[in-house]
Amino acid sequence: MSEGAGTGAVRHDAGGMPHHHRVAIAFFLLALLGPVLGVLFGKPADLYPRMASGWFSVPMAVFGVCALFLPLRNPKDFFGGALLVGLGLFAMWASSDLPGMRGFAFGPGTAPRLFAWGLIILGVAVTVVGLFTDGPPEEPYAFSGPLGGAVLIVALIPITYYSNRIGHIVKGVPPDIIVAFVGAVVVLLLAFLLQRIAPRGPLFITAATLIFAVTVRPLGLVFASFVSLMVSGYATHEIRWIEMTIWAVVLTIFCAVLFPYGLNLPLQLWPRF
Amino acid sequence: MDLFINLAHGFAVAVSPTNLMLCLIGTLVGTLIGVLPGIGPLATIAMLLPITFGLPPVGALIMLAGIYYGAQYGGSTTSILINIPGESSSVVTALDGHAMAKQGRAGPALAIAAIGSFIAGCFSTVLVAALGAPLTSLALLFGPAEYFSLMVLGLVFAVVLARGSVLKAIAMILFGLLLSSVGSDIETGQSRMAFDIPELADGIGFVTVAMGVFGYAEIMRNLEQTASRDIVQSKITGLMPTWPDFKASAPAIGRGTILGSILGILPGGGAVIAAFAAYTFEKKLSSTPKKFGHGAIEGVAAPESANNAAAQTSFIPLLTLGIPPNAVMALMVGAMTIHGIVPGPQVMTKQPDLFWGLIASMWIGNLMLVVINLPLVGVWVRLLRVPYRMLYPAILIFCAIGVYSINNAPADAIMVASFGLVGYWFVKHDFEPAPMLLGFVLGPLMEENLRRAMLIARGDPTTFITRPISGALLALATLLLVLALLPMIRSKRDEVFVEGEA
Repeated sequence: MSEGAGTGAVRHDAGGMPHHHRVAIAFFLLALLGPVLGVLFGKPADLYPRMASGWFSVPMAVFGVCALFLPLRNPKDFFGGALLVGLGLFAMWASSDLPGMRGFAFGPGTAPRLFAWGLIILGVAVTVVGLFTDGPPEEPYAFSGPLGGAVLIVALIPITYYSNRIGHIVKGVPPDIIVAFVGAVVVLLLAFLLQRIAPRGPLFITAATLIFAVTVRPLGLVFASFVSLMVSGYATHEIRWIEMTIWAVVLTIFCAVLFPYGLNLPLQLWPRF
Repeated sequence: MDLFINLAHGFAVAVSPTNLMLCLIGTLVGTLIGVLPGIGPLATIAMLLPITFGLPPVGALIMLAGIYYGAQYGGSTTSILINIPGESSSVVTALDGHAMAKQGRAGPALAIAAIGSFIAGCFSTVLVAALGAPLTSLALLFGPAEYFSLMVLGLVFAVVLARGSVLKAIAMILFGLLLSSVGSDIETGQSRMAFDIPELADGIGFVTVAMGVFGYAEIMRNLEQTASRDIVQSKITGLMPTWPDFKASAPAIGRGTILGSILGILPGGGAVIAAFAAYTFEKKLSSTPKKFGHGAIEGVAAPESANNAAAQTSFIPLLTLGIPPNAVMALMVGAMTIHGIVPGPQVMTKQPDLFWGLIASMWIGNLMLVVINLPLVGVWVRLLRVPYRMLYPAILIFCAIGVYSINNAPADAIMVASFGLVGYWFVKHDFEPAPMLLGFVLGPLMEENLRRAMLIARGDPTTFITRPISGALLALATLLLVLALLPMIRSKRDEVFVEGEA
């Protein structure tokens, strides 16, 4: 999906494909996600029920059809509604294992499904409004910003999952420090790679927080704060390196004094070795 | 004269050195963030919640309350002097306030804003104290069905008063409700939508959502605007308003105070809406509406009194019924729960220190604001020279350390970043995040009361309509929703409330 879809007019992206085709393809891929995941990770033995267990994402294809045949006059509402429906469907899938009504008493699954249904209905309503009224065009970075940040977060999942193996690559160094180091480097490299397609702001704000999260435990508050401050400074084009370094040092000292001593929070300041 | 005995007790609590100090810190921090654009009371309170861990509950709440009403003062200063509203509740103040400053009457504008706020603060303090007892006894009549209906009404108010599309506001509330149901089921303890992730088993933290959606998303969005802030230093000469100024603004202050108090109590209301409504009301009443926008002192007095009154009266539903009327009060619920206090009618009887101490501290805080604010105007304006590129890393690291220190869980920091991205996406698609936060806080309460009411009524959903109080509340909610959905009224509504709750 590209940025800034014009209202009504057919736009062409760099690849020569009309904009609405790309949008439609994205929605069709999203619709297939459930069945494909169902086949790959599903519990039932046979192929067909496994595929069917992932039906929750299939309704998203409707948005693809809409994007193909109807002009997106109000893209903000169209995509906004589509995401709400997506969230609702996701919640339906996530709560599908919970028991519902028992006689006249609510089960654990009743309320989540009630809210999810509401979200789907409203999502459709917002989309319909988006299809039949004129609205402002999509704002820049509306997609690439959150997506870029999301990639960074998702990249941490395999690192956490395989942390046992990663931690023992180098002998003699505590495993949690290696995992923290690998996580921070991967996030930072990805952020630099992605900054060609995603805006710096969301990308490096997310990166700074993630680096803080992975390093604060094994490496201590001082190191984690300083590194994430420097990374966060890169989130704006106005960065001045010398000023930022001095400021990061000042803030790190301030935090290292305020939180553990001033507020008596049990935070570890230095690495554990 | 129970009221005065109780208030005296409250003052005795509030003037203890620690509480005075915390009140001062709260009002100063509130003024500071009110002055600085790009960081609002919501993000600040979320950021400072973890810091209040070590404090006694009374002191913590006194400080957090100070931030909220302090921000209403601070916002007006920059609105008047440099036409930059530091807070969305001061947007309307900028219209006439800055016009006055350009005419060389910045001093009287600032003074009237401060005096109006102080009068409004005094009035609403008494109102909170006076309404506390009767509303608490009313709360005792409430069963689960009534509580549920009251919360529905509150959410409907939030929808009606939110900016932009009604549909999107309802959708945001539902999303908040859905998020709140992640974690363990309240009755069976079964894990819901947690995907066996241990960090999610306990539910999503309230601070996490608020910090992400308000703090982080705001930073990400601000970083895209590279406009440098031009600071025009205007000399302030002659602080005292003239006699005609007083005569013109006195009724405006009165009307603004009353309107603000009402809008603050109503669920879904708040300081921003109060300021806008008071300005519009004043313009309609005025015999010379053309003067508005060109330096009418009523246009400063009314909204400034209204936003301060509303900031304080919005504590009434929280302290008496345990229901937060807006997103900032929702954060106060979070603060109370952290300290093991269940907001509701029992707070007044079981924690009289907290209830009356908080109320008394509001009056003291308002007095402090008048005394410290006017001499410090120069300092606040100079603070605006701090460039944003130095401000946001500080906000970011405080948020990260703060949220991490709640549970010593790195996963919480990752969640904040995720919610930041979600909030960024919402803002880019014209969704207001404030109703979502309200839904998120009310979610567990609503579900609990809904389930209990259904159980008591043996599964008969008509119990919500047949019980008189509950039925009346639901009828009112329906009426409001219908009114909001009528397009004619909606277009008018957009005119009045062009800015939503911060």
